[in-house]
Amino acid sequence: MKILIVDDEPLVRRSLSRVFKSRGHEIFEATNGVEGLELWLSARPDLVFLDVLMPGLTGPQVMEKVQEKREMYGTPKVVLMSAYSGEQDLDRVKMLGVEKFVAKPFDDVFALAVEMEKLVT
Amino acid sequence: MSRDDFKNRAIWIGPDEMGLSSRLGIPKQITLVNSVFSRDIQFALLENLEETGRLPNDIIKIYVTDRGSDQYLQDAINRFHIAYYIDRTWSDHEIHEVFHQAIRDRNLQNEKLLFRREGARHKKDLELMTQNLERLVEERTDHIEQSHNEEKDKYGRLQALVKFIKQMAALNSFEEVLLTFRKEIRRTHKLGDPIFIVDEVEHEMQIYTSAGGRISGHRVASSQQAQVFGENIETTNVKNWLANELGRPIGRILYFKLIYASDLKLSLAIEFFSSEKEVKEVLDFLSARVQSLAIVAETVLTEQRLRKFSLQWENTFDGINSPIAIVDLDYNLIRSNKVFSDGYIGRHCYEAFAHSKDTTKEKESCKGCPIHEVVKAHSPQSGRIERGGRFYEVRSYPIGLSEKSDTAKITNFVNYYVDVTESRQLYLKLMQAEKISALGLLAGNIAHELNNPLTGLRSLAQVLISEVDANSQLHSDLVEIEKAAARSQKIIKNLLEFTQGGANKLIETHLDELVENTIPLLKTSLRRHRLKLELNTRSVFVRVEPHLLQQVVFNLINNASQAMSSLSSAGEILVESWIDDGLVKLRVADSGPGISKNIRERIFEPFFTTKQEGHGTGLGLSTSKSIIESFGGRLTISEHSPLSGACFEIWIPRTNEVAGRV
Repeated sequence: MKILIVDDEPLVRRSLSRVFKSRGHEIFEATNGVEGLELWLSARPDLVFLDVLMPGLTGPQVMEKVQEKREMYGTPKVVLMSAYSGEQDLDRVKMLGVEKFVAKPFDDVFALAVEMEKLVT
Repeated sequence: MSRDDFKNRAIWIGPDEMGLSSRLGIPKQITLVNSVFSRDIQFALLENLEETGRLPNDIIKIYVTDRGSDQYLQDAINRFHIAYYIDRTWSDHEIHEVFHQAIRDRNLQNEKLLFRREGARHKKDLELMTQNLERLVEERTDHIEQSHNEEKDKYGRLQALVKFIKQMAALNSFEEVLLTFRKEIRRTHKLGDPIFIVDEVEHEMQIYTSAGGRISGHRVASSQQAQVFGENIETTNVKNWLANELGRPIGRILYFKLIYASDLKLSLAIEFFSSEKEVKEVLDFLSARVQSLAIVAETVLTEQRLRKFSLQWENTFDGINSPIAIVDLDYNLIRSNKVFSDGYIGRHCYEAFAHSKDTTKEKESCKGCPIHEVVKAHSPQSGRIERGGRFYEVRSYPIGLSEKSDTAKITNFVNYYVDVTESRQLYLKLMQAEKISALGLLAGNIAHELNNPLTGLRSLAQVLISEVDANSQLHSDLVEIEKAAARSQKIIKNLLEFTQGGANKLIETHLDELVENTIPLLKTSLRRHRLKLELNTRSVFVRVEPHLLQQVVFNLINNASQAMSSLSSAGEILVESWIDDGLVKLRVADSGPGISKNIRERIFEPFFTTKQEGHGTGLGLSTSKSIIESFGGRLTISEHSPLSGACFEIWIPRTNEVAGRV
């Protein structure tokens, strides 16, 4: 599947990219929300990893934009990542179309990969 | 004188009357008018001396003789006292000469006689005048004496008046004034005992009588208060009113209005028993005395009132709950209220107040006293001092500072102390809370910042581990890297949990676990010292809010570490937990200098600190104590320590959960 990773931390992008690439998926990387939206439109991913706290647009703000133009952005599964566990209003973000919330740091990145694959299929 | 003059003018006495007179051409008897006096001068010409006796005395006798009859001449002169003689043989001129002489002599005699008479008369006059003068002098002397006596009397009366006035001026009480006046009045026996009517503001009208030398007051009911002080009051009305009030007949009175002010009225009524005629005399006596009575009474009553106000003010001053003191630049205590000095009389304000609870302090002015700032700034200033564990804000006001006296030297101050201990505590609490909150925020931020790269680190390490040869060195290295990343994550997680403080929800948990989780956070603090952990309550649960308990444990261990910071060598900290019946107990002991008895007594007081304001970190012991107590436990400092320093103990009731259940 096509996976879009939107996160301003290089190592997060790299590690996620490596994991999913090794399992045969196609990876698209964006360093901030605006770039992420652009890539979203062009790449038409099946799964989107979205960081919450980023310079410019935050994760939820990106989701708001996507909600406004749902037709354009399609309905990939969106996973919100954050070091701020428990701080996000889960109901609210669910309303914005976020499928799952994952806390950083990840304990086992491989387990995460498996879980994500199950999500999409 | 001519011969014709002699005619009919001489007495011829002698035998040969015709002879001489015819010869002389003069008749027998001659009366000569030749005198400045109106009296005629008579001559007698004598030949016969025997006839002399017959002649009156005032006739001038001239002896007519012959030349050569010296014998007869002698006789004439000696025996018959004839002063003149004529010799028949003489010339007319010579004879005339004798007459002339005789006349001159006689004139002279007459003059002398006249002078003598005059003299006598003058003398008499003089005598008379002298007499008169003497009489006048006598009169005058009497008069003077009389005046003198009058003056003496007057003087005596003045002296008496002055004595009276002096007496009055020295009196201090109203009663004394009235009695002294009465005594004076009674020196004349024409007056009765004086009656005084007083109307003071805020008092009821009173009538004071002085019978028998005792002052008795009679209150006048407000309904009966007549206009006795009014302008046109009739004396008879006053008399009747008095009689009515005092319940006895009052005779004729003399009435004087002495004081008429808005806040004080005084008048005087005196019965008098003399006749109308004597009134004037009595009035004279009275008027000056009444005046001095008015002045003195007013002074005394005013002073009384002032004293009362002064007392009121003093009571107010003393009644003020906050300490107030009036001091000078040298901290000499000029005046203070009760709360300030609490019975202590000292010379300096700091002896009385600031040090009275702590006798170990040196006798010097309080640190933070603002009086010198006031002098510099020329305006009221505030400062902060500490006294017996309580903090006071000292507000110092310069005395007598006015707009004009900008350059005047300030020497005295009113210091007003406000106990700000509580508000200070609140402030510290607030500061503490904000500090903690800020720290929490900071820690939180850092933690989140770190989480990002850490996520990547760990995940990437995991990926690499899966890709390299499991037997290679690289693989094992990567494994270590991953572990390190995992540890870092844990530390951050702990830190976040610690600072977030949780939702104050009590949960069942293990004390030992919480302690172990806290230790990593103290790594820096424990760097220099040895930490010995002996945790033996793994099997039991306690019902606590884990973050808060962690904070308490953190606090205790951190304190222990700080206590030993001044030691040259490494210190030892012992943290042990054990089960004691139904309690889980935790002990934190250190090998520091320990805590003195004084401080041990106060160490759990809210925000008691031995550190300077603002330098304490973390939770206070007071808050720690409250937290443990909220779990149903206790935090204490024990007198006996397994190590040489301080020793704190926590005990918390264990729950009835059986070990193993989660």
